[in-house]
Amino acid sequence: MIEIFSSIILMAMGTYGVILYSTNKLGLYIHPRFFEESFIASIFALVIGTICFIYFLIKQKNEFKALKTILNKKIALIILLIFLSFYINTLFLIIAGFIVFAPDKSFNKLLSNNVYTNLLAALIVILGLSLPAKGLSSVTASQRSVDLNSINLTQNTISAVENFNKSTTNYSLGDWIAMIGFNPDPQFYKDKEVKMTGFIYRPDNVSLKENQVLVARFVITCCAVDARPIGLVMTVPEGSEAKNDQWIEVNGKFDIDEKNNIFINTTSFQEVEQPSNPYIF
Amino acid sequence: MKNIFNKTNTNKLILIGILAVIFFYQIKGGYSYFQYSPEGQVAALRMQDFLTLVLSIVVEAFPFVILGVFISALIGINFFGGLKTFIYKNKTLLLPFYYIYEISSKADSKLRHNRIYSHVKVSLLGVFLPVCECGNIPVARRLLLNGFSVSQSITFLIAAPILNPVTFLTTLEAFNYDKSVVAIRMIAGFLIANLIGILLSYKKPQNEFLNLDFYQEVCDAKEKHFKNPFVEFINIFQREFIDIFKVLIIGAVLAAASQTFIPRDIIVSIGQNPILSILAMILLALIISICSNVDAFFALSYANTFTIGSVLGFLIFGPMIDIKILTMLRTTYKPKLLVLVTILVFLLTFLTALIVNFVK
Repeated sequence: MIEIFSSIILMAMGTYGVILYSTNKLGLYIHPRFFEESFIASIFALVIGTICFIYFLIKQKNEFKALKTILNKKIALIILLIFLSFYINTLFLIIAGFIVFAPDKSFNKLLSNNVYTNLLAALIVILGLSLPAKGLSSVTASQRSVDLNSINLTQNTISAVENFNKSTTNYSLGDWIAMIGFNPDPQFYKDKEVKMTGFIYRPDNVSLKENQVLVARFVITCCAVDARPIGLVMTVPEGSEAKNDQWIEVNGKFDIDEKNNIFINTTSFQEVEQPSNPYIF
Repeated sequence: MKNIFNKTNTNKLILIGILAVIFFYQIKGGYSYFQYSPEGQVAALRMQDFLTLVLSIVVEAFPFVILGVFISALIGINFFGGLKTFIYKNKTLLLPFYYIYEISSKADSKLRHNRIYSHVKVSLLGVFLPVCECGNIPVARRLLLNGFSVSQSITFLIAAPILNPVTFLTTLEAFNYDKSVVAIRMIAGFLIANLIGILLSYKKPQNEFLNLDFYQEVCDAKEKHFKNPFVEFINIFQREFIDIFKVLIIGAVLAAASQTFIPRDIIVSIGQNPILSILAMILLALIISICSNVDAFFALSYANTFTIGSVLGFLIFGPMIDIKILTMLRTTYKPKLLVLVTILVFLLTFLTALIVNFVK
């Protein structure tokens, strides 16, 4: 039975990878240079998972029948859960469903002794498949924020620094921060036009004025696990509201405050959707 | 199996309890806590980020899990043994390969009794066996059967998970911005493994270290002859996959939870201390028992907040010793030896990490 379980997990992970790849959601989890690897591995997992599944299904007919009897007996509960899922959060029901099945001795036998780790694996895969993919939020930003104004030079930011004199209208947050790291003189930036996207973040370890927030993004080198926030201070124009974690597009000019710090003097900002590649590479 | 519903099942009670909680939660408007109150919104985002981190580790590591399992399955069906006989059969066509093999085996027979040479050779076997630590234990048993000494098998067990192509590749990908991490990890792994092996080889009746049950088990496990290599391949593939995938999930959940639910102040104060951070990371490596092929991605998540030496401590200690390996090794070696090796590995890793912390 564990063989069938393992082939189902293989198939599910393969499907998950293919879905993420085809809906452009992989960028929420990993660096673009892994996209192809991930896609190939998913296809491979899908193929070999299917072969395994069919092979073991034929080979282990009897054990499969045992599973069927268990499912038959629980069919009423499953229908109840599906019915309730129209009224109650699906996530809670998935967890409840696992609790129905997990500690059952008959199930323990089928899924070998360490049934809980197997079910944890299944739970994570199901959560991945069923919940919408989301990027990291300001909560992780405040867990990780050590230095908001530094960025390792990547290919993009190097070209941003080199081509500075030509055009700065399409500079992203990462480009500007790389540029400021390269040339930290505030006077150099005064009155330069800015247009960038990012999410609104109020850090608790940086003192800001009342009408100021950070426009922030995460930098990743490999995957979302190593995400590190960077951000620039922006003013919020009077009469508009800046909600935490809202993705925005800022228009404005760089300005210098009395302590000689650079900030963005915002003329306007619009709420936008989270980009499909929310991180800076 | 018949009386699942007749017995009073505690699980049923748990289920009913949970459903009742959900119902009350729904009736009392519990969602407004997550939607409207500031703490509730933060809690909801925290859980969302937790899931994102878990999934990002799993998605990132998945291709490498597949690669490792694939190669391990190839070894399992004796693909590479077949390759060797293929080279021997087609001597004229594959002359260069044949000569390389011949020369190396001649040199090998001359140097066999040199203590340092024999340990170095064994420690580099992992280059040809890119499976992680759990896959290595059967190989180590086979080595012991073929007349290798206990010290050599320990060297192999410690070195192979680090000195193998898949681990090299993942460490390089993860620490792309700081290549010295990769170099230090490989060199330290090589040196520590050989040092411990050579030290152990001075203890003369080597078989004293072996578990008595081991011989019995060895006698039971005879060489299997399989008819269909493809069926065998599928068998090994799914078995190894689910074993590694489960450990990967547990590791991912623990790593993500420690990142999202422990307050930043605690993480930073431990992580920036040059000695405490090393101890914390080594303890983490001991507990989460993550597979060496993908552990670089876990270590990476601590690279922002922890000292570089402690991350290296994790990367060096984790593949050599962890709870999972120790329980598996108990079937082969005596506890006395395992304690000795654990202490040695710990001290050497700690020393390496400390040097890195103070030099960098």
